[in-house]
Amino acid sequence: MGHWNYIAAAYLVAAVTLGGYWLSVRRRIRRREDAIRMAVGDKR
Amino acid sequence: MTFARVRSILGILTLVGLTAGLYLGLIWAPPDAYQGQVQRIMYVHVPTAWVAYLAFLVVFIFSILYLWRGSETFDQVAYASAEVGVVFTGLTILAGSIWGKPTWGVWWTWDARLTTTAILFLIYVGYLMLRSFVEDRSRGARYAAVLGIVGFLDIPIVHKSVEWWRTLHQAPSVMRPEGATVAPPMLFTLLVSVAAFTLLYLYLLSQRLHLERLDAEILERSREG
Amino acid sequence: MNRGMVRFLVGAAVIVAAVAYLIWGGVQEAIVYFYTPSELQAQGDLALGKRLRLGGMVEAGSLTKDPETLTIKFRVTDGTASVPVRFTGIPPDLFTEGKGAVVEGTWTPEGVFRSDLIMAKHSEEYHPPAEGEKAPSPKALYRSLLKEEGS
Repeated sequence: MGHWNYIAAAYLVAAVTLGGYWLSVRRRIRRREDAIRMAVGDKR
Repeated sequence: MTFARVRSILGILTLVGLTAGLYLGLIWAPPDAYQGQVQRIMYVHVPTAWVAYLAFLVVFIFSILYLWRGSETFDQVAYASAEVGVVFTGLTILAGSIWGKPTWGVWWTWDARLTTTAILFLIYVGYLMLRSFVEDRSRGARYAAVLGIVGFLDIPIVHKSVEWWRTLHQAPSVMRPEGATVAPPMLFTLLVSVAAFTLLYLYLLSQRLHLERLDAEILERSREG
Repeated sequence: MNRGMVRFLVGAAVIVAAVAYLIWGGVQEAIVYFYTPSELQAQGDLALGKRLRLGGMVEAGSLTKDPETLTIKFRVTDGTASVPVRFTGIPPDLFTEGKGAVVEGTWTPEGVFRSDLIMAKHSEEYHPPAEGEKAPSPKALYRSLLKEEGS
């Protein structure tokens, strides 16, 4: 019954892929927000 | 503020749903009589495949709306959904492969279901490349919309491939006209997982759409400046 | 042409080539993914020498194993015809009599299909084991997972 290795692998791959994608979107959002904040700062 | 509110509520609901799905799928659901424990991979593989279908359906609908009405918002939704769809298609292939090894005995085989799914993945990778490489945004958006509409034709082919041709992959267990072929506790677990992954899709879509709107705002500002 | 355009054209060419290859190579193979025993026998000598797949049910009572040489003999049937298969290697866990299988290999003049790859085909039906044939509890299996790490 060594199949738990495959189950663990499948669930881990899902967590890493989706978590990684979520973080990449968050990181890109933060970068844009910083850029906008700086642009607003320049005008003042 | 209201959009941010929707995003955080979706985030909380997703977290609750995924926790429930994880508990049901890994502990509560019974093992399969034939496959044993390894059948639990179904609770990842089937929901990710469902979300991939859903995401590309959204691309299809919003690409038509964009070409018809020309509103940039429609295009933003299509682009955001395509990116999320590619992630879920890739994950469907990965988790399916990890399920295939202990059951079928191979990680991959060129049967009709797997081949048409690989084509689906490539079509939408092409969509994303088109978007990132064509510099004129509205021209890129129009080309991509055409690809988003034509590419969707592969979805019914992927879904029906297991009926039309001989495959190693089994036929659908839930999305079939005669009703599900899954025992009640497993079906319940699967439906909870599908609901949780659908929430996750909506959450990721809302985040990705927010990113798209920020990009549009930056572009707007650079034109003004 | 600017750099972005060149990169786009190269990328597009790669994707189009890959899709075209899959359609003309992969899909053609995928459409006739395997032959049934009846089809294989109907082809006769035409099927000799080519690597192909044979699919069907593992005939009940036909399976014999030789643990010394790792050779497994069985018959694949589609209900009307049945073909003897000789396989060397380790079959997947789900490979048993009365279940579906797809075997890869070559058809020999002796009328035996020689295979080096067995794939177990399972149905779309899922249900827990019946009363009495209880599978081990998840807890016991989690413990076994920790012990088996690295295996």
